Amino acid sequence: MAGDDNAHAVRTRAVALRCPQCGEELSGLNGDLLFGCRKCGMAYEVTETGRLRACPMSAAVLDAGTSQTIVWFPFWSFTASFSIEWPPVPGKRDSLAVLPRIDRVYVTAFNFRMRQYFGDPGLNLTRNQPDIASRTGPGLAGAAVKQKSARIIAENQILSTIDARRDITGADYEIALSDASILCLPFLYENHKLIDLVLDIAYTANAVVDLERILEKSGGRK
Amino acid sequence: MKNSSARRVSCPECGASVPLEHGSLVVRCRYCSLKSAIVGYSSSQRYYIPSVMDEKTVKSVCIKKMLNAGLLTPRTADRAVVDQADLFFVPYSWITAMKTGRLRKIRDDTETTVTKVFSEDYEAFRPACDIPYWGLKNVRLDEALNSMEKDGLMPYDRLEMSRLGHVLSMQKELEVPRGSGHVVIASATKKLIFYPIWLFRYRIDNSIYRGTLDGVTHKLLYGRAPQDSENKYLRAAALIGLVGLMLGQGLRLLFLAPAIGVVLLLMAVIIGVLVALTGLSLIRFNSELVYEDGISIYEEGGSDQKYLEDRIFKSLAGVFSDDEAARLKDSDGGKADGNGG
Repeated sequence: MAGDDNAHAVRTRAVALRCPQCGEELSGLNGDLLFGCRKCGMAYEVTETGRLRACPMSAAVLDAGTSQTIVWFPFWSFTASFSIEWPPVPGKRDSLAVLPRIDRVYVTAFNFRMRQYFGDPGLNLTRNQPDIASRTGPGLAGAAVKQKSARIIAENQILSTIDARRDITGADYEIALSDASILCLPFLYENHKLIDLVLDIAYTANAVVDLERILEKSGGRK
Repeated sequence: MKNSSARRVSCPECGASVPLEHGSLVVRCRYCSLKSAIVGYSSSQRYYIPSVMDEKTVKSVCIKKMLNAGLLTPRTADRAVVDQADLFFVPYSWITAMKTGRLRKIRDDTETTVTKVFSEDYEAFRPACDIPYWGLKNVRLDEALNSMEKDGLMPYDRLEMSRLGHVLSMQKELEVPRGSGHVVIASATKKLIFYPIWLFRYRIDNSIYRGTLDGVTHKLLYGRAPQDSENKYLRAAALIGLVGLMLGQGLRLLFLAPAIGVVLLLMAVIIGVLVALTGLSLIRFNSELVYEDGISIYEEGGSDQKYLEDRIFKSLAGVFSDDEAARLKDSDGGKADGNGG
């Protein structure tokens, strides 16, 4: 939705942010591209034509209660399958490198910066393939990545994870992504750091642009 | 500004007219309270960063900052009197995105083509208005965000910002770049950040000079100062004395020991030429020091202060509402008329 202030390629209009199933008001921040219904466990992407495109939404189960500040960040989650083949090289034996297991791909769905320094939370999840038990989630806030963009990122995450084991140069591959959903994951917020409670990886709080507003809306303060 | 605030949409529930504010992509109808997302209206989300300094602090630190930057000498700093400091919220376009894709590149050692997958941040932060002599390009958002203990971006609040300082308008906006080939720019967001910049004015003797300070990191962005004339006289006297001595000795020795005399004469000529070519600024009168991009340089022959004032006010007219431009010019009280270089 960002762009020139004077651009008017599509007719400007308002789309009601109300759950098509239960009529509840959808949660989300100004500038978000996805809004969620906590009651029905659905997220809705506002398309450029003004439709609400639905996908399931859930949140990770938090092991134990905590008195500290928890903030819930949205991730796109896809079921992934891929096949990859390298052309045979005459005189060379086929590489015995074991390909990584990638059942699910996670794409950071909130505005995250400084990947070069701290890594990408979504990519870290994809590379580690954690088992995440889910439940109906807290309110959705900060989801600013469209499903279309998330699919491109997800494909590159799979390729980069394979490439870390074996050079993908010249390989033929096919990637299939299905079951797109939004998964909210808990991060502990302390000392200006965000600690991913699934993988126990710390990121600087400055990497998240809308942190204060996501904190308020995602019902994170405990 | 007027056109955009007049832009409205109909509430999908009750049909009431809902005004669109800059940067608002989610609105609430004031009649039926329905929350709606706006499509087909591309507007950058707006934020502002409050200044961490007040006017008093700026007035007390700006001379020290110019001294540290080599713009003032202890002697000129003692004569400098800061008489005004104004806070401006300057709009900056900020684009954040993820650049991801596959790159084919040639491996140096074997000259074979390899494919590499990469994902990295794409980020651009540029002033959204043109104001000369403020050093706006020297603002670093990362430095500012890292220097703050908590999230320093505040939602745009025109009233609060106007209470704190002058709010400038956006003149130009950055465009999100397009990817090419197997490289895509995904999840791009565009924001407009109103960044705090202090414009201070100080006097040395009868001349007025200006500079700008970063309102978050305290960094000197731009400054202008007179050259210290005491050193100038000393340098000029030393150089003239040295060249004169060499010329005199050279002429005297030309008759006693012609070889040494010729060498001395040649050296005097070479030093004279070098001074003329490169060292002229060391002894030039009425020259000024200008600080920008982290270095201080001499500006030839000093500046036409009236011309600088006109250029700044002309550019401000484009980014100011009329009443604010008048307010700023009034606060200057025409003192700039008596400026010298």
